[in-house]
Amino acid sequence: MTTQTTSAAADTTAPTTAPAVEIQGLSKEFAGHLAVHPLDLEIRENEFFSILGPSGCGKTTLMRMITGFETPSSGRVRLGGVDVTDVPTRNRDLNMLFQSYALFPHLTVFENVAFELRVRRVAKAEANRRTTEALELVKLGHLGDRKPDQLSGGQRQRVALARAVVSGPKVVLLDEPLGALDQQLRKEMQYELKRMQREVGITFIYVTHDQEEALTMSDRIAVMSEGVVQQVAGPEDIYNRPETRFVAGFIGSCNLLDVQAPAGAEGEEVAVEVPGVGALRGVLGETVPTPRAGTLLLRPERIEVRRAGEGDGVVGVAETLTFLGEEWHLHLRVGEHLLRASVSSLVKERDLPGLAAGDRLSLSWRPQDARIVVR
Amino acid sequence: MTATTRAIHLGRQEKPKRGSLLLLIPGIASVVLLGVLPLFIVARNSFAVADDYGGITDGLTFENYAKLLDPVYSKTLLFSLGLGLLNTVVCLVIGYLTSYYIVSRPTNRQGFLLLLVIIPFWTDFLVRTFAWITILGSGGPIAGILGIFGIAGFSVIPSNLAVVLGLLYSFLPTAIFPIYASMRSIDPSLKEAATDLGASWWGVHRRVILPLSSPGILGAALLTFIPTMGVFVIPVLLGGGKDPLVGNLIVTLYTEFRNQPMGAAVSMVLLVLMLASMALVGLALKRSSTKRATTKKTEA
Repeated sequence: MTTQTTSAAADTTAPTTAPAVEIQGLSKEFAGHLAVHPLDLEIRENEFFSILGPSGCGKTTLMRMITGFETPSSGRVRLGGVDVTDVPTRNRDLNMLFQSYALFPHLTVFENVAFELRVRRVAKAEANRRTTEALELVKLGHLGDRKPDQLSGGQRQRVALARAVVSGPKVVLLDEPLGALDQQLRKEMQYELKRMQREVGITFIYVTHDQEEALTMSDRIAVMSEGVVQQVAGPEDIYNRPETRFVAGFIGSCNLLDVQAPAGAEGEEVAVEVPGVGALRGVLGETVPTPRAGTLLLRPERIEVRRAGEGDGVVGVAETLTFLGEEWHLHLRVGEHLLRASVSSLVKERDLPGLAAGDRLSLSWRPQDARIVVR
Repeated sequence: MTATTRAIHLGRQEKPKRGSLLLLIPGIASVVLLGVLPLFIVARNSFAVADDYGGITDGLTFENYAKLLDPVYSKTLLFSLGLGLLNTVVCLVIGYLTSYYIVSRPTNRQGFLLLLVIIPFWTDFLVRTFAWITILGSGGPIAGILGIFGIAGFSVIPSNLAVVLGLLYSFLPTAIFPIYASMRSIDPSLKEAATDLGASWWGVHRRVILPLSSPGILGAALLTFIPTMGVFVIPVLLGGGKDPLVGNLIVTLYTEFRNQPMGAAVSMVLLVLMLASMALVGLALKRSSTKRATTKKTEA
C-alpha cells in the first residue's frame, strides 16, 4: 500500500524528527460495522494534510480517534513520537476546529480565544498577550468585546481558528471548516487558512469532502472510501496518477472503462481490448502479477479530439456539446460507451470550427495518460 | 420590546374594534373574578379583626402582622424558609446531574428516561405521599430488610427526614424539566470543544454547561422553592405535623383556629416571599446576560 512507501520516504528525508502524527493499525468498529478499517498513516511536521472522502467514508471517525473523542477498536496513535492512544483528549497536544465552530455563546470573542490559556492556568498577563496576538493573526483584534452571535460566519470561523492555535498545539484538526460559508468566502478562507498555517507553523489536518479544497490547499492528501485509505499522495499525484478506480472517479472527472488488465510491471505500456471500441493503449498503474479485471482511467482533458479521418485513434460520434466558458464538454458515443472529453475554447475555435452534434470525431491520447488499475 | 418597536407596532394597528374587546371579556372576567378579586379579599381580610365565631368584623389593624413576630409563627416561617431552601438546593443538584445524564444519552433513549421522570409526576400527589408512608413506615420494605438483620421496630415516619425525602421526591421532576430543557439546547460540540481545550469534567461544567443552563436552573429554583413553602400534606403525613410549614399554618389558622384575618396575613407574607424570590431570580437572569459584556470591558 501507499502508506508503506510514504513512511519509507519519511524515514529517509527526516530521520531526526518524529512525524507529527503517526497512526498504526487504527480501526473503529460500530455495532459490528467497520467504520474505519485498520490503517497506517504518517503526517509530517508542519504539513497541511487533508483527509478527503465522501460523507460516511470514515474520515470524521478517523479524526475523532486522533483527537481522542472516539476510542479506537484497535491500533495506536502517536503524537510527535509519544503514544497518546490512552491519553484523554484534554491532555493531547492538539486542538480541533469544529464544523459548527463551537464557540462558547456566553463568552466574548476574547474570552473564547483565551479559554484554553485560562483553563491551563497561564499567567494572566501572558494569556492576554497571547490571546491578543492570536486575534491579530486572524485580523479580529478590534472585535474582542463582541459575542459570537454578533459576528458573521467568516468572523466566527476566524475566532474558532484563533482559539485552536492560541496555545501553540502540535496539531490542529479542521472538520469541514468551510462548509457553512458561501462560495466567495470559501475561496478567501482557503487562501487565509493556508497563509495562517504557514505563519504559525502548526501541522494542519484538514477533513473535507470537497476535492477542490483538498487539491488547492494540501501538501498531501489521503483519499478515503468506505473506511479504507485509498491513496496518500500530493495533489498532483492524486489527480494525475490515481491508484484506484475510486480515487480517479472521486477527484475531478474521469472516464472509467472496464478492461481486462494484462500481467506486467508498473508503468509498462500495454494494449487492452474494450468491447465495442477496440484495442486501447495505456500504462499499468501498478504491477499486475496475473491478468485480472481492471479499470482504464482517462481524464476528459487528456483526450485529443480531431475530425475523424485525420488520425488513427478511436472514432466517436459527438452526442452533446456543452459550453462552460473556458472550455467545452463533449459526450462522445464510442460503441456502447459514452466518453467525456473536454476541449478548450481556443482549441475548439481553431481546430474544430462548426462542430455540431452528430459529427464524427477521432480521439487519441498519450499512453501514459490512460492508466490501468486493478483496485 | 423597546419603545420604538412598540410605537411602530401601535402605529400599524388600527383602533381596537369593539368586536375584539368583546372577545376579551371572558378572559378578563375570569382573571378578575378568580384571581384579582379573591386576592383583594384576602389582602383586605389580613387587615381585618376576627369576631368570636370565625367571621370577620370590619376594621383596619396591623395587629395580625404584628402577631406574626410571635415565636410561634416566626419559627414556622423560618423553618419553612430553611426547609424550602434545603429542598431547592438538593433538588437543583440532583436535577442538574440527572438532566446532564439524560442529555448525554442518545436522543432515542432520552424520551424513555424522561418518561420515567414524568410518570410519577402524573400520579396524584396524595397517592405518592401515601406510598412513601408505606415504604418508610414500620411495615414497609426498609423495615422488613432491616428486620432480617435484627434491627426491629424501624420507622422513619414521622420525622423531618421523611418530610425532606417526600419533598425531594415530589419536586425533583419540576427541577429536572427546566434544567433538561435548557441543557438540551446546548450544542454538544461545546462540551467537546471545552474538553479539547483542556477543561476537566468539572471545568467543562463550571465554565460551559453550568453558565449556559443557568436560565433553566434559576427557573427550576423558582418552581421548587415557591411551592415547597406552600406544601401542607407532606408535613402532616410524613412529619406527623410536629413542624408545620407555612402551608400548614394557613390551613390551621383558617380551619381549626377559625381566625380568617390571621390566615390571610400569613397568606400575604407567603405571597410576598414568592414575589421576592421571583424578583431575585429575574434580577439574577438579567445580570447573567449583561454581566459578561461589562466584565469584558474591564479586562480589555
